[in-house]
Amino acid sequence: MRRPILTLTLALAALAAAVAPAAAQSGTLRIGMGVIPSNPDPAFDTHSLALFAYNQMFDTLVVADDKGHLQGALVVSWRVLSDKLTWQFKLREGVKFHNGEDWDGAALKFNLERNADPKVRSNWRTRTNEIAQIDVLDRHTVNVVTKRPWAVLLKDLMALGMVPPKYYAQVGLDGFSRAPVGTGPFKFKAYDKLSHLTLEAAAGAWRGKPGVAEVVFRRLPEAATRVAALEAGEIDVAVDVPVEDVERLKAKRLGFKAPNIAQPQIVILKSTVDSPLKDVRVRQAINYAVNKDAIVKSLLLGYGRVSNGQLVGPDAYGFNPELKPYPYDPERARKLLAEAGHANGFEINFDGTEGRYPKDKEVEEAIVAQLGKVGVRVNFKIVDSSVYIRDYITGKLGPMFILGQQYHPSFDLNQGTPNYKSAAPHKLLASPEFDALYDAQASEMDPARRLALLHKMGAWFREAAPVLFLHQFQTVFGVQPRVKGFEPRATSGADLVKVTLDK
Amino acid sequence: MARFALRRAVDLVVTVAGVMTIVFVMLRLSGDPLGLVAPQDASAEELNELRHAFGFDQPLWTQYAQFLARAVQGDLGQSLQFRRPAVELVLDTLPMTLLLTAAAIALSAAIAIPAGTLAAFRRGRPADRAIMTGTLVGQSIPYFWLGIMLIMLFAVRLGWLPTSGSGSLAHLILPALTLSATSMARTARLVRAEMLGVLRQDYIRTALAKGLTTRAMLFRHALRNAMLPAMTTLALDTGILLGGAVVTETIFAWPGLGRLIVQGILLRDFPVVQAGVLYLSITFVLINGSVDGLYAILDPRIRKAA
Repeated sequence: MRRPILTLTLALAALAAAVAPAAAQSGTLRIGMGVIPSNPDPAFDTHSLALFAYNQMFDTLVVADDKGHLQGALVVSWRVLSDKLTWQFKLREGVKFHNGEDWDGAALKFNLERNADPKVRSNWRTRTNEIAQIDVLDRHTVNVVTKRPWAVLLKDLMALGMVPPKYYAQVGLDGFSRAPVGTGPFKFKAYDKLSHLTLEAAAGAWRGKPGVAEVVFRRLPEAATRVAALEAGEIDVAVDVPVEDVERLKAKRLGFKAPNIAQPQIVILKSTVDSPLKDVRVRQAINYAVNKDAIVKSLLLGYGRVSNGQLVGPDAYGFNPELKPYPYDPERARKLLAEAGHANGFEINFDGTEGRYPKDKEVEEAIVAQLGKVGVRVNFKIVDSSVYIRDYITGKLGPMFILGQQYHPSFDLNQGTPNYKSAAPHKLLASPEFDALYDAQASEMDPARRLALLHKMGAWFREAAPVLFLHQFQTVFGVQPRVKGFEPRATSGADLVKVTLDK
Repeated sequence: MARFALRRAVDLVVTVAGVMTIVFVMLRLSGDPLGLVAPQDASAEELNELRHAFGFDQPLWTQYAQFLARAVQGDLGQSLQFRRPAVELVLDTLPMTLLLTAAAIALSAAIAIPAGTLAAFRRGRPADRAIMTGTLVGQSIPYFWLGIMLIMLFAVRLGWLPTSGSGSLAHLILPALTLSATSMARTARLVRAEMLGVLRQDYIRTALAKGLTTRAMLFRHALRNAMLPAMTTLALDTGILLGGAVVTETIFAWPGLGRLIVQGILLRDFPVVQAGVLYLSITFVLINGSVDGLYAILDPRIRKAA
């Protein structure tokens, strides 16, 4: 009885050994996400999950570390010449695109021009607005000249994935998006806008040799389905697992990672239209009236952090460690309102969203209830997501409305803050003081002085309170135990080069 | 026959033109898709430039005239979100929606017609009661909940079927079942009610009296007469399912047209919505036309009247 089983076991073991590939690079990493890039061309989707996918296929000039400091990528070093306008970039040498084309100065120039080309309609085109001229000095040295001293040039350019000029000229805009080519550790294999983006390991990439042969980003828009697919073992990583599911799934030996992400939740308190919000005491009162800790604890189940009274978290350049959150103090809120002449409260319109940000409707309802307790009667209305961003950028929402103030991918307090300038069509704020602070930091070329200016801008923001500071939420990644080396970061999703799969 | 086809062709053109006009106007009632094409940090000048480039600053009738002029040449514009010709996107996804709808309708007919017949024949008995309870449940369950429950049971717990996606017959089963639930329940109830009426008719008694088996009586005589209303609901359901597969397509990550159109509406991707609705309405008119044709085949009275 025993012998046949033993023989069979030995045979199977031998077979398994023979079938197992010798190289470490094997297997397909399957990642389920709510959205995948709406187009494989990196110029056309700004969603942080799209950037996660693009980052595997394309490289940018520089990247940010977990504190918002720049590190070289396709540009290894840079310096600003004494005219404060000319940036001299040294390019990484020996880098080739997946089609064999060289990464060189001409390629850099081409990419910046492509982004600025109105016919291309890059979603990042405002990022090249400050560039006046591009001079290729030699194959690996390029001078980029800005129209005015522009300290955040590289942070602006961080969003752009670099594409090969010769190939692009050959296939055109449309052809490129059908078969894109980059310099990343993975190259394009297949794409179906409603189903998946599939990449395969590229040879000779400067970021290293991937530990998996293939990566599939599967589009699973419904969170419950994403969780089911993770439970059924159909995907290895589920991006954005509802926080309520985490405890139950942990019992099934699934791992979870929740890095802080660069999207603070705020409520804009517009002071550009006629409303009690014009008075700074009212705006501060609103900040005191809302219990941020309770929101993070009971609505986000702890998957978030209360904002330190500023628009960025510790992962961004310009984060001011001195600033503390507005404490929850309804008494003080009432006192400030009384001082401002609203002892009996006032009425205000609040535009909210549903399903745009994690738990947004619940958070909005909590705010409405807590403001009610200090006498602010909020007319709350959910605005259809189809017009929300348009009404935001054209200044039609509010005077109170919710917003995710994204600072991905620059990781610099500067990102997003131009929208608060008096001239911006958003009409969030009209303060000559802020305009001056903004312009000063954007044109300060000395890093130490600029950091000090950013800290000053942050402190001004906390005092002037043109927003209700809430929290930053964490994206929860559910991970199968067989996945090794998957380390999601705020800055780039995760670098998949280091990921390997156990048998 | 030629007259029938001609009249149908005229119907098709009038219906589609009407639908397209309504969709065009409705989409623009809530304003332009500037939020989709403009970066969030665009300046006022950049916003105006974009409005102009896309023609959003033109009066509605000018935009409509341009749309018609291009549409007649087969150009329905570029999707604003995917930057692909809208027609290409629609033609990529329409077959998936047709497949899902056809599977759901086939499943609905295959289960509802025998179940309804059985319930009528066993009226008041346990089989009838079980089937009627089932239809009540089927009609009242929301797609969303049913879909998730089916995934939990068949994909997560039992591991028999994939949770979501497309590409094989196995992928089709759960979404088709989810999508068919309401239609199946409605059709079964209708077949039962019709059969109850038919079974009381004299010719049924005659058929039994001349020695036909129960089965032959049921399926050759009774069911054929009860089928017309069932076909009508199934045809109507096809229309509902074609446009209403959105929830199912979302849960099962099914790359279909319904989901594409709704995403288009949410993001104000006008060209995609317009092209999608155009193709859906053509499909719908064609299906209705073929059902009318089928009536004529099934019922000689309609043939004579036509």
